[in-house]
Amino acid sequence: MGIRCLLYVSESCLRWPDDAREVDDIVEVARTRNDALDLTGALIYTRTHFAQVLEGSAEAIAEVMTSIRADARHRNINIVSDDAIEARYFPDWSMAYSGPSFYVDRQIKPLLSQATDPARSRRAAAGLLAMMREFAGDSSRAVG
Amino acid sequence: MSVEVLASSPVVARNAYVIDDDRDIRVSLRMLLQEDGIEARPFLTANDFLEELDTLPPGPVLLDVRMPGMDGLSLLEALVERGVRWPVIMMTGHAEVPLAVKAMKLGAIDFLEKPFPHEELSALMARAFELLDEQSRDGGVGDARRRLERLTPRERQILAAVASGLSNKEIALQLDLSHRTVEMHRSRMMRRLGARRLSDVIALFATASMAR
Repeated sequence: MGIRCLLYVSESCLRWPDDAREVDDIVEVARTRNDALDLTGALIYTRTHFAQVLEGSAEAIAEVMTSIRADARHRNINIVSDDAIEARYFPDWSMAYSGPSFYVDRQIKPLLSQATDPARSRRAAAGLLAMMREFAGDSSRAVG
Repeated sequence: MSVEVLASSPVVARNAYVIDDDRDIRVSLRMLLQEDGIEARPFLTANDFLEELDTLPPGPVLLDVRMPGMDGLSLLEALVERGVRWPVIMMTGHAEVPLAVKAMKLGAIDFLEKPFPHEELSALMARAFELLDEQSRDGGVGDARRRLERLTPRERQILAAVASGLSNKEIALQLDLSHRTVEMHRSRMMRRLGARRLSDVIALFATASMAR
């Protein structure tokens, strides 16, 4: 079966300082669930936004996305890309970054609304993916 | 935090360091920080700063990436190596993703891309002073714990085993993993923490394990 790679960004509904504990909960649940579904990828939280990459079978991604869409801890979920890939970019699933960095947040912001300029949006998506892979610690492969 | 809030609060001189070879940047940053009640001490090169480091009180460091001689990232590495955990904010015209991530893994709190709005600088400095206060209160425990949160449970398990003095072979046996798998987790753990030496990781683990 082919592997798919889905990237979405969203706005956080969490409030500081309780957000740290909430994010811990998210990570705890996601690790177990994604392991069981053979999903790899990474999550980023910037105190205002989330970005997540999920890699795996279309069925596994669809199952997880159903619960992600229903999750009240974020809103305005925008699927940036959903592509067939030949090999996974991430060795496992991890929390790639959690913190208040403006720089990290700036890589997410341009992707929050539907693309008006597809080429620009593709560049921004590639940039965000590259950053998530750097944070996740595996940067040996180039973005396709 | 908005500039107005900072400006209207009682002005206590807090000190910070600006390291940039560009005179205009040094001057304008000094003025901007002054408006926020922060006394910035300028340095022309990384070496100038390192030479005086031992005599300086802790403070946030605003650090330019591209400088002649020792560049910003090398200075950040030198600070980490010396165990100086003052909040570092990197500055550059355009931050390449791998560079930015590397700096943040080394502990830089953020990357300012010039030209940046004053509010962003103010918010970052407020955050930097918060971190500094936290460090002086808990001896870096919170900071160390935050860094270890990046690891997977398996990587943390291996770190604990490494810190207790076990060899890769012994860890493999204990956790029922292959030698190669232990090596893989171990090198991934080092990469995730942006650490080059094992002793740094063990020190980080020891700090994180301390009670507050």
